[in-house]
Amino acid sequence: MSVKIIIVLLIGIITGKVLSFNSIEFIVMDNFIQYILIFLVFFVGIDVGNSKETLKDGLTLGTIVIKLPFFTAIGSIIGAIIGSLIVNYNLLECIAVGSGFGWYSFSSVVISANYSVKLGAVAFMSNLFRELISFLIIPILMEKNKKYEAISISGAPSMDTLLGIIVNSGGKDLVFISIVNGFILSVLVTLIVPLVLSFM
Amino acid sequence: MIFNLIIMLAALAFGIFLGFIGVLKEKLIIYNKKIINLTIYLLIFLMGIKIGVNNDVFYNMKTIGIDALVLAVFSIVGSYLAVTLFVKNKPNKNMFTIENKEVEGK
Repeated sequence: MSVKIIIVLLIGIITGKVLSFNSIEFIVMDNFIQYILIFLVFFVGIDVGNSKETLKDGLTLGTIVIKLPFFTAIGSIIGAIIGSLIVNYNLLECIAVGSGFGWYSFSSVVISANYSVKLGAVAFMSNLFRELISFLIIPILMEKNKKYEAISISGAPSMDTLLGIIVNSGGKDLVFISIVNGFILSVLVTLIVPLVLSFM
Repeated sequence: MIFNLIIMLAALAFGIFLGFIGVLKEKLIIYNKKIINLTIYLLIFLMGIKIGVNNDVFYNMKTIGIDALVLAVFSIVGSYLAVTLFVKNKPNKNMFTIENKEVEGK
């Protein structure tokens, strides 16, 4: 999935570089993106509402199911707030990027459609870096028995793209907590990113 | 802009509602993940076009990348510390039940 998305993005960038758009075509495209985005969010909603198995699994795990994604989210956002002191973007912009929780495809598109292409590009790369760095660090954390921390740094991808490495390096018993953590964080992304953008 | 965001949240809520009460045809549910993936590809492609057209973004990829990396590292460290500090309980027994059952079965 990750490699395909990067390739699709590169094809898009080359297409944009080669073709020259006039401003009217650009406005049409922006409107088009808005409609597709609404369409996407609707289907993500169906996926969420339909994931009763995941919700059931979550109930058997106890309070950790709430605590882990909650502190992951809080930690990411606080990290982004501190990061805003260093980078060239303001506080809210950094919070919007940090609230992607590793789901780079969704957060970047929402930000570029509703705020700016530049910040969308930051969100794409930042959340992609989060996934790549997590991929490298997870096995090290698992060895030191920091299992929750390993799932936490993965963010939303702990339910899909990083699930394999989490389970392989940390053990089969982490499947449920990892999926539920990613699931809750994905829902939070769809809520927090638009919310932060509405303040900007 | 805010109007768009409200519509998005409404679409999300409507989707969750429809998914939860289970009125949708099974076929749609099966293809749901595929629809989501294809839509994401399409949106990423269009975002790529916008980046390619936008010289400010295209020629500043390096600084954008460095800022993105800084934010990624801070987010990772932030969530790591938050979990280390506040999530103290070790993996509980429930999480091992499935594995134990498998071992007992053998």
